[in-house]
Amino acid sequence: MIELCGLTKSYLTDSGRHYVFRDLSVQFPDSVSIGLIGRNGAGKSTLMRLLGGIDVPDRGHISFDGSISWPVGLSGGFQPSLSARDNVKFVCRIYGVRGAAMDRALDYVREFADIGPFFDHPIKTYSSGMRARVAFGLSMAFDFDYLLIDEVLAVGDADFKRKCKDAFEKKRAESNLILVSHNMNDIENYCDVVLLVDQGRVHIFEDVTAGIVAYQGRKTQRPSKNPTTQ
Amino acid sequence: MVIFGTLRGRVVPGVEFPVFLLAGIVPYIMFRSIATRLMEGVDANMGLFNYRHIKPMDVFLSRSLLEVVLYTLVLVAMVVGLIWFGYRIVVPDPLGFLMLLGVLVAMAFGLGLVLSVLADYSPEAKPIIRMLFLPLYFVSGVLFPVSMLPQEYREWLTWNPLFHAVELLREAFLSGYPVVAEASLRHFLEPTLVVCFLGMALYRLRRLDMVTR
Repeated sequence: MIELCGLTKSYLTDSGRHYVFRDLSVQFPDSVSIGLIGRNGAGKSTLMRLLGGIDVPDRGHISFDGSISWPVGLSGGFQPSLSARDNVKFVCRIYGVRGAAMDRALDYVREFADIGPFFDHPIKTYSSGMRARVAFGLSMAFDFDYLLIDEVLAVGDADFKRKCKDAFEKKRAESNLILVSHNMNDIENYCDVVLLVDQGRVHIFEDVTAGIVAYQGRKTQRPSKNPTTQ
Repeated sequence: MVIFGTLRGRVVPGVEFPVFLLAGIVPYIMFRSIATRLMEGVDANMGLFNYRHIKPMDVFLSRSLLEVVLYTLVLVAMVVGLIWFGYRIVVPDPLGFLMLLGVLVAMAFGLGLVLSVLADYSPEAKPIIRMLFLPLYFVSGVLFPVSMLPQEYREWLTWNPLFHAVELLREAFLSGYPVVAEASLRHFLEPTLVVCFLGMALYRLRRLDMVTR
């Protein structure tokens, strides 16, 4: 179970310190796929970065004894001067995947990305679509308890989009998603629980539809702060 | 070329010019290379910080290691090359030379940490810092024997720790090199400690801000 204890995160901006979260304590529901929704700038991505361990809270901590992936986005964490193969090898090594398991991961990513000889060319020569294909394949090659996904579920042409969806379906059997998205269809399709991030607070909705309704209600009539929280 | 030309004739007696140059130039370029590579390290590897295991220090350590290996090979290749062409290279104090190189690497590492924090704070400073390495090259006595300079100017150069480094490296590398009296190990070691401390302290303070865009 992921638990946030007294989490405070702020950023220093030109107009003083901006608090994204102030003393936030939340218990995420156990072993379900979680959708994070909220307005732009509400702190969804910050929360995701905190969960992914890329950013560190000012105070408080996140406790979880399973594994969480890196945030899977469009760009991916690549070293542009290395080839996709070397990048995959690198990620394998930092996650302790070696030997035959590494070869399997390499084969999987190469097959999944399906970019032909470019797999051995430097990442910086790729188009953004090719890069996203590799990034997706890479994140699918590992087994995490939670897979962090920022905005993008499917990229590329129709064919590849279908491939992504299939992979996700398969992946959902062994790992859960934490999905940040503005696309309510994706949230509805993939998530069991919705976390609405709003003004430094996180509201948990066990019922996905109710969460989406609350979010959309909030979006349209923002000035009146109607407390549709639990 | 003009500098080379005028110098060729009047190098220290008993020391051949290419060998003299080698002993100073390779360590200096290694120093500059480590410091500037560390300065650019965070930006160049931004993508890798997406993985939670990787911290800026990993980038700094691996970049330093790479440069050290690279310039060690360059040094060995050049020594072999010069011997091949008939120059006589007998290193009187090889262990001292290696020790001094080690200290130089430590100083470059510390300076690189300071510069990386600085570059993170204001990226505009990067080209200026890179340009500053050129005058540093000249005041470190890499190209010419500092014993050539009149005493009153030489005293100014002693403020530069690299001056001591280059001079001591030559003393260890070249047999019969007339090291200037001002060169002292202390004035090289102490600034290294200060720079390393400063670099690590700044890194400690800013390590989290470095990776956030």
